[in-house]
Amino acid sequence: MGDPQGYLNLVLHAHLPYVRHPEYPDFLEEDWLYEAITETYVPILDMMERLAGENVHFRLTMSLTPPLCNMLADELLMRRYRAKLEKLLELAEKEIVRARSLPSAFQETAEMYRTKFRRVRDIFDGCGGRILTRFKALQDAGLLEIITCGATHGYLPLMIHEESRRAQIRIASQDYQRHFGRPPRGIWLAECAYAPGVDRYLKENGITFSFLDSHGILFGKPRPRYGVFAPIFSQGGVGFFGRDMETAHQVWSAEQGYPGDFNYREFYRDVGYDLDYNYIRPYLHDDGVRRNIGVKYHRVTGRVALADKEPYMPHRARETAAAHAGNFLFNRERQVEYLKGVMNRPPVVTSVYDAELFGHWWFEGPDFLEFLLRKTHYDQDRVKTITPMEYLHKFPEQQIVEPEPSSWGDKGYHEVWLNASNDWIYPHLHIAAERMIRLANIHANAEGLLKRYLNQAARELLLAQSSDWAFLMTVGTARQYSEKRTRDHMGRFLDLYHRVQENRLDEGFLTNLESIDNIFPTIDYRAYQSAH
Amino acid sequence: MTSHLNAPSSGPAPRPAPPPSAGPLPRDYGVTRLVLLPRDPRWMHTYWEVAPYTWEEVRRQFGDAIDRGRSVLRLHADHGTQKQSFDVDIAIEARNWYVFSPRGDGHWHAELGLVLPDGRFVLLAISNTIRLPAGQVSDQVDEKWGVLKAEWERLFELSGGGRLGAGSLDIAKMLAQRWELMRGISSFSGIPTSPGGASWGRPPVRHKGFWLVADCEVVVYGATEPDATVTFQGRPVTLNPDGTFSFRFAFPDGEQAFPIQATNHDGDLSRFIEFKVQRQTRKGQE
Repeated sequence: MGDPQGYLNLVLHAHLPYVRHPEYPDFLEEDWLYEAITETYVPILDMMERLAGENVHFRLTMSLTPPLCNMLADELLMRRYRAKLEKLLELAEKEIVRARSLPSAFQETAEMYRTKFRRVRDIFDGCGGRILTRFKALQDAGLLEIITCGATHGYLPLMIHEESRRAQIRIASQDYQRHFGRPPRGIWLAECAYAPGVDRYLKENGITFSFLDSHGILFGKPRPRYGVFAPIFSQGGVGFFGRDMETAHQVWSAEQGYPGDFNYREFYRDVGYDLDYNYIRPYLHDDGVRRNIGVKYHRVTGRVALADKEPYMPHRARETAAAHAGNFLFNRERQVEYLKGVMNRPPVVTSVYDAELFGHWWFEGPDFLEFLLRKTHYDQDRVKTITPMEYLHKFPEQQIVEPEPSSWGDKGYHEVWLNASNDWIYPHLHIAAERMIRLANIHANAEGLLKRYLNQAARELLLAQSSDWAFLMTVGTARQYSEKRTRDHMGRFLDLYHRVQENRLDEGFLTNLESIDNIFPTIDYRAYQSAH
Repeated sequence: MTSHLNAPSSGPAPRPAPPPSAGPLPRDYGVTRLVLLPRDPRWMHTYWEVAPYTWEEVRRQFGDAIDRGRSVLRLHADHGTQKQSFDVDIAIEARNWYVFSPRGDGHWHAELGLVLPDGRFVLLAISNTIRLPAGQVSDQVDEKWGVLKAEWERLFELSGGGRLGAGSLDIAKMLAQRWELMRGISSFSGIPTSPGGASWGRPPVRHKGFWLVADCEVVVYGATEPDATVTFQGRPVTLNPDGTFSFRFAFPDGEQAFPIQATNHDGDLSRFIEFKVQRQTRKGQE
């Protein structure tokens, strides 16, 4: 087989904020993780392992952010997840019985859930609950490129201290090494947000590639010769791949995007609301409020009310996913062919999606990906999947362009994270960063209890910096929770700071915080020291 | 490899106590500072705190004249060969302000100060320096990586030039749109419309030859005790944790009233402020 005419650089950004509440027996927001494991992370892992087992050629890039890796490696959360999964399996068994008196479509769907949940259980148990090890194996086999992200998905353009930005990268890099046994080669900047100078810290940590939204490249200086269809190098020597908007809109668009197809599963119609309360009560949270459980029997159907949704038919949904994958690939072939006319090298089309779109929001998303990768391998030879690293090796010479400061948020810049709903957080975040840097500089080589205090202060600052909180304040969902998290971590930071300043190092207080906000067990606060 | 599932110490670890609630975050940190943040090619955000020591210092230097001073933000832009400065009138008690930038790109910093009746500028704080995004295609062309103009324009178009931003918020939007479709309700509050409905984000329509596009918005802001209840135009307002609030609106022609009512926590004291504003737009050619 000769060289293809172009490349598809498929990137999935897997991230959830660090939510872990050992101080409560049952915590609603921890469901974000549990749902994503069952619906997204394990199905995608399963798909990749299946393709690898059949020698289907594919390349995929995935960011597994440090908060996500820390949660997936956390004993308490994984134990809680396993218990949740057990309940879900129990419900699936009951549903088989209940569906016997329902039309056959319901029976087929009930079977599907039981099969899926059992599969998730087998994979999860098969690796002792350590699913990162399975992702690592795929990376070690050269099929998957795992990239990192800012330590807590911090929004770098709205940090005003260089040390603060650098620490997000350095701590992420160190944490990556702990999970994957080597340093990261690439990074997803949180919210795809770029600020001038960030490339320096990437380079310092041996990171050679990252991504920008399309205008981050298109508005760069000088004009990028190949648009978004070849990477550029920043002055700091980092390769940046620009997001292709055509593939973005094909999947995202509310009107024409694939996930809205009438045959796909309806997200909003869930047994948590539909079934008899006494039947469903054991599967709800302790407060007994009806919520989504993740078992759904209806399809999008059309522009109709929830009550008028028609039954979901798994085989038909799969056929639709296959058809969409075929359409997606066909469009890439045309795109690559067309680009050949204006480029003197094979273009690379970079398609970036939130991983949680696949499986959680778009139930058939993992099927779509599997069909897409299979068809790319079997049905044609114009387009091949590639990782950014492979592309940079093949085409080492790139144009040097200064990227435009930008993000992938609404309107393309920083407004989602800086508006009247969330601008109040920055005076606190910035003062905390300034104080953290001061502490790190004063206590150049702390030991013992003081060192633990400083490490915990760094954790609290990092947790408060997650861009998720500002995002949720803007979107208005989980707003109270995200405000509380910001206040809690800032309050805890200030408390730690004052105790250090006043030399009141009480161990009990610290130990309690360490057991609650336990992200980054091997953190080193000296990441905040100023460069000399 | 140990397993999460069969942890050697069977039985759950003792549950840590919830840390005592720290209460509200401080309103002041006792330091004078001015911080400038980029929002997009046209807007910057600033916030500030002026500590008592700074007020004492300037009063020592300038005396009671500072009580008659007008508070301003003095913006400085450095566009390489061109430099630019201008003042924006502000209310110092607001503690933060969104500043419109007449052009994107360049390096910016700000000074917070008072303009005295005799024109002297009393400096209170200087900000950090930021770079604003350009918001447009660069006119710099790379000789080594030359390309025909027509070819570049095609690449730009194929790259999705102009179609910006489809990220996490779009999942939220996509789902919200479907939700609204199904429920046929308009009051779904989970997902915002674009805050303030500002018009700057849409590219101006290009007319032939000379053109001018302008619009204005209203910013209403204020502060009260953090535990007070506030209504704006009769509707309840969620206060920021430090008791401040602000809104931005599109401002069509006509008169609008903005009544604000605050009631204290005990419900026995209230304060009322109302603004009436009028807009009248004239357009023409000369």
